[in-house]
Amino acid sequence: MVDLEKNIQYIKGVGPNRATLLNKLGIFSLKDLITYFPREYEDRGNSKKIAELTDGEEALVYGYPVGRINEVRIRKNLMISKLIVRDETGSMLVTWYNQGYLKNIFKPNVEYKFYGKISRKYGRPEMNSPVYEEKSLSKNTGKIIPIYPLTYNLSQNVIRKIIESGLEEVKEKLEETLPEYILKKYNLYDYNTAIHQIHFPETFETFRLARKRLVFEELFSMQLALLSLKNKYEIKKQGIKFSKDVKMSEIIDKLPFKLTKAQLRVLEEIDKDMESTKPMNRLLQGDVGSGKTVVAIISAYKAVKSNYQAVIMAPTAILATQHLESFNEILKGTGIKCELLISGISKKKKEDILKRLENGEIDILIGTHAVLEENVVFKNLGLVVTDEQHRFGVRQRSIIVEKGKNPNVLVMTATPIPRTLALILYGDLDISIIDELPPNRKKIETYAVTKNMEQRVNNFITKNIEEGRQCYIVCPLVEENEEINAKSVMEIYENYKNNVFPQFRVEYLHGKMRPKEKDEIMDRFKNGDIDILVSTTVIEVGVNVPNSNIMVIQNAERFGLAQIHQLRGRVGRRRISIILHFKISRKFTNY
Amino acid sequence: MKVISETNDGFVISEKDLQLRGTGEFFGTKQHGIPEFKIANLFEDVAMLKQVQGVALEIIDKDPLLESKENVLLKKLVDDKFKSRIEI
Repeated sequence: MVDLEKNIQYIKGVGPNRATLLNKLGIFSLKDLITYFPREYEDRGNSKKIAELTDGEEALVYGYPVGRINEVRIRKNLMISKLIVRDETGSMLVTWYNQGYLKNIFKPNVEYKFYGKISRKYGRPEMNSPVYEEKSLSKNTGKIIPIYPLTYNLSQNVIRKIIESGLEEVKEKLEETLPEYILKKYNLYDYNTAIHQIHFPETFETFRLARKRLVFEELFSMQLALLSLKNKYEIKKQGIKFSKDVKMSEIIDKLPFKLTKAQLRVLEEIDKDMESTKPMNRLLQGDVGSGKTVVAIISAYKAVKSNYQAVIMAPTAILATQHLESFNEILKGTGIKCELLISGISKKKKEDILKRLENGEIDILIGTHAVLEENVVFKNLGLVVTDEQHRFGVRQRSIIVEKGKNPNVLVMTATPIPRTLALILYGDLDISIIDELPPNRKKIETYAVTKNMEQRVNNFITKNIEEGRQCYIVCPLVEENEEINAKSVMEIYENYKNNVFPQFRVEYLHGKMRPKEKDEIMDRFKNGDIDILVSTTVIEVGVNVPNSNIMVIQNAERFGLAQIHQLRGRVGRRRISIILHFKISRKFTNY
Repeated sequence: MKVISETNDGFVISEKDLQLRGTGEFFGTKQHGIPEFKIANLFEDVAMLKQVQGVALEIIDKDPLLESKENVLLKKLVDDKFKSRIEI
């Protein structure tokens, strides 16, 4: 048996230093290593004769060096090594830049392999900066070579070698993960073959088959897991039937604003679920500002008036606090008691809340992950609302659900997942969509500008701040590495604070900060004590600062469209305008 | 970038995004609870996704708790999925 959990450090060719780098790639164990799949491949499999080479292609050529390398110094920092290589059909010129060490490497009368890009100038083919090897050795040429994604400071060659030794350890010893009958029926590679062929495919056909098997397994296990989960909910007895006598319209009619058609439609769907015996499991999608919170409030109203408790889970303390304010405002005069449970509150206060929750004095509990704790006990939990799905995993959702007897579940998200995809990904949830913004919300104005308009953008920001507005500066996530992201935030922050806007109050926010610090900054921004907030996408999750009206997104090309859309929604509340700053300077950025 | 300055409809944008970037990058960062795939690409592999959905449905229909002997490995796959770092 192979120990797939074996620490990566003890794989041949790794050691402590490389292990640290591999850890950054998310590779900790032998299993992680062998499932770190190539991004693409280079075909170094089929050799070509020199006479057949065409301009622009990448090719593998077998040939003998003619004479020695000739070094040509073009200028101080540029030296070209030239070597003539011949085979039985002709000769080609091979060149490298600044590779002085090559000078005495090639032996006459030894056949070498060269792999590189061909250019045909003046009739004679040239190969620039090829990889090369003696023909008798076979490591970097002569087959389909995998290219791995992100490698930090590890070269492709090194990571390839490490993966090779990983594969050597598991050779033919991996346990099969799919049942025989599935492999047969769907004509899939066994696991050992698939893993080996995905890294070092013999042909493109074996690559295709290996990928097919692995994709099958990945998607299949996700589907099975989702279906099992759904089953778990459905098999479980009956859900709660909320009272038909409690009408949502009681509260809707009292609202100081009119709901959109989309909101009403969604509420109808929720109402139907709540009154049926089947426990509701519904995903509520809607853009930032489309009014998901009020839908949650109305649903909670119905639950409470039917003599059940409701819980609202938000991903951050500040968001939970914001929800509490909205709930209290809308439910004013209904006698419904809402409380806030976040990790920051005093022990005494917490004990008090827990006590009153258990004996049913609290109707609606709003909180963060803190509500998941074991000592949080409800008297009669009937409705679970989780806000911003992506912060709460399926597991957390099931913990909170266990606190009631088959409570109804409403999951809210602002991530606009295409419906086709949502149906598959959230196989365990029914879906409601609010696809309409309240009429009083102005369209967000979005401008794509380039670096050379920066001065104008800055003038515009200055003008707005002088009028009492606030501004977000969003920095790109360079990699999934918080340290680097924090650094880029700090650089931009320093520049804005010291050089660009020394007259304003500039602060920063990034993922490396402690939750408490983050909340503090957000609080100050919300209260208007900060004019310009430089941050990574930590603001992506639902905090509204109504007074902020400009968002500058730096290097916007690094973000996904959906992400930009969600980001700009942040300034949407009472927007005046917004700028997306596409500093298209990819080639010149160094953060 | 034209798309983003011309529409405010999140769904139009996300369809486009998916098309342009594939799911790997679509969801951008780890903070999304949406499954991250090591090898599958939801845009390229839609056909496969539909196929496995059918296969999975059929199996779960017959053996809801994956208790039969022939499905031992599948049970393990599902359990691993719930345990793994990658959220479903």
